[in-house]
Amino acid sequence: MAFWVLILGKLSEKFRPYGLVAPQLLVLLIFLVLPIALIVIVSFWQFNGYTMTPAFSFENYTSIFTARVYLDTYLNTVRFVSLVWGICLLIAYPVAYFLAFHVHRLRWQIIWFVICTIPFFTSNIIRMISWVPMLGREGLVNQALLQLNIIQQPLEKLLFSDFAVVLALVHLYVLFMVVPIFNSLMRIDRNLVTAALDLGATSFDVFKDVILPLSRPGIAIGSIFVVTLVMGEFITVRWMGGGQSSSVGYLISNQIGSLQYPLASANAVILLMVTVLFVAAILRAVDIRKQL
Amino acid sequence: MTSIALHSESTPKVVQGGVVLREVTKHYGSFTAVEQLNLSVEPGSYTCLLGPSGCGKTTTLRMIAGHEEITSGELWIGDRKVNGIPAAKRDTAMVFQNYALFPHKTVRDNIAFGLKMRGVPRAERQRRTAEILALVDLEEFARRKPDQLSGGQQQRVALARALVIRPQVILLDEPLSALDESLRLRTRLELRKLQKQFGLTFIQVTHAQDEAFSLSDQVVVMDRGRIDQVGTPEQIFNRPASRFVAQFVGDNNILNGTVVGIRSNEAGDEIELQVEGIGSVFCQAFSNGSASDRSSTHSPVPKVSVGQQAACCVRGDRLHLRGEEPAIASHSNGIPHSNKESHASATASAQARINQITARVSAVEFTGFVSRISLTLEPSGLEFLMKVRTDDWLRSGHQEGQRVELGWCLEDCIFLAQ
Repeated sequence: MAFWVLILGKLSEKFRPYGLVAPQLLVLLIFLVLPIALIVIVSFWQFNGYTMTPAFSFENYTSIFTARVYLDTYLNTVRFVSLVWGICLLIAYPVAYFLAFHVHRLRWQIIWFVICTIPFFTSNIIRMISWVPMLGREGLVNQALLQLNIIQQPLEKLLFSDFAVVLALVHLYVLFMVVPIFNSLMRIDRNLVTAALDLGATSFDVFKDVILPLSRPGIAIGSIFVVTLVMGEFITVRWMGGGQSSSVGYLISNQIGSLQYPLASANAVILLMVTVLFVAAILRAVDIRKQL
Repeated sequence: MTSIALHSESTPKVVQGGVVLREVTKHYGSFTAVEQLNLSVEPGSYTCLLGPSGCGKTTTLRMIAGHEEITSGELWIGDRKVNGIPAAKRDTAMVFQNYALFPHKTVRDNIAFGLKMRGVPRAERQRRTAEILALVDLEEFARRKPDQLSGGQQQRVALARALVIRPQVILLDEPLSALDESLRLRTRLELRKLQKQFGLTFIQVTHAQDEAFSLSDQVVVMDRGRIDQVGTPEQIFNRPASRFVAQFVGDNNILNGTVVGIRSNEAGDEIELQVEGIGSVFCQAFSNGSASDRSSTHSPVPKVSVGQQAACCVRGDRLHLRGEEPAIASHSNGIPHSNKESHASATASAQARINQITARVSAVEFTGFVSRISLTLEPSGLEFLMKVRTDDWLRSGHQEGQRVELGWCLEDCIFLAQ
């Protein structure tokens, strides 16, 4: 660090800005651009069951695009993403709205936020394991439903199912939606609400014509978080799905486990493309620059 | 109160409504923001609520608008008591301090918003929006977003948005404070013009005395949640009713003393104050509704008794140097006095001699047309401010540090009971 500062001092005015940017650029190059480039390269290699051989072959891609199972996995991933995104939005918007408009004191806003973040104090794995006594065959939910005579047989599908995966993912990522929406709601000038009421708007009009349009950037940023994070999910899918659910991330992790690096790389490249498309679509729909 | 030139060709039917506040009080918990306000605003008049920040003027405006609840008292708009009626149904429209334009809507949609919310059919909405856009000269900006407009243009959009719904009363919260000086002066004229053209009741909040004076038919000076004085700008300026008004409104010099003599004259009472370190100062207590007043003023006839603690004030521009004629006109052309003029100025200087003190010039501030002269009274050490035309000051030949004799007329020295 000190060494770098020393070098910066020696640089002429003209190059100093580049000198300042250089460390960050270096980090990005080594830890982002280089690995991605490697993945892209490896995705064209061949694998014969024992070793990888450098090549320039589309074999991996053709096998992915032609096999039904891959298509299903991708569709299932997109289904998870849409479900989790939709449910997160439905939960997060009211929460953010409540925090922004109904909690007037900073102290209480902080307290509520801390409560929201408490689940994040424990690791993801532990939180997922704790779903087991909750949702399992003998779990709390089944016990309660049986006691209340709502069901006669314990529900098998509560745990180790797509339902469980979506539930855990929502639990995991909903806060990533709450925070950006809360931020954009807090930025809305309260006089705009007063002005709208002054001009004869009902509270529903105020929401529809003023608050919702002005919180779009927050929704977009939250959506980008949730979509990109869920898109690559594999641990939650594996644990909560109990082997019954699949996602591209889980698929890639399995392929890595069986040393099929070229195939895993090809899948990673395609997944990255799909994610980029999603993000591009969101950015096209909403101009988030004002928020940044 | 005043007849107003109405109906420019584009101005629609005029609805008029006055505003009346009766004993209006507002508490926030244990804090009293506004206390027992009584105020009557004539239909079609321009009223300014003037006062320092925290005096309750904005709270009052927001109560009239319906954005603050009234703790007690009555509020009437037109012939309706509007306590508890929501803002949207009060037939008022507010112009906000920072305009509160909807940033995601175009200028046109901003202006049309109120009409849309009121369920005005699309065709009429478009016609009225176009009309008002032309009136405020913003037609070419109709498709822009507010952040693509200058401050002055934004201000006009805010005004247009309020005018287009044709309310009885327009409420303006410091509408000019975000503009730079030259734009503020121009917009001020425009505001007054529009108000007259529409014949609407305008109530504006401001902390700027010049703004209140130039715009209003009626100025309401507020301090700490109470009304100190209501009157025409001339009344407020020439006859401050309280020490606060005198301090807030002009470059007034205030002297504290004890009442030692009261003598009634045609304007009210002539009061002799004994001021420590100065001696006798004669000041005038005006009886209500005197001289050139157009309408009633709230300033009560001060009840005075000998021995009472009181004060008086004299504006900096009403102080005269000894030997200088108070009638400025006789100097301006540089021609030696004719007999008639010297007779007039003789009476004037006789009046000027009523109050006389000696002071030392401590500082001279050149501000352009006038100079501000700081004076230290001897021997009391009190600070006085005098405003003179720069030319006159230079002609007098006085220097900083010099001793001068000051005088002022009886009727320029206003008695202040509190």
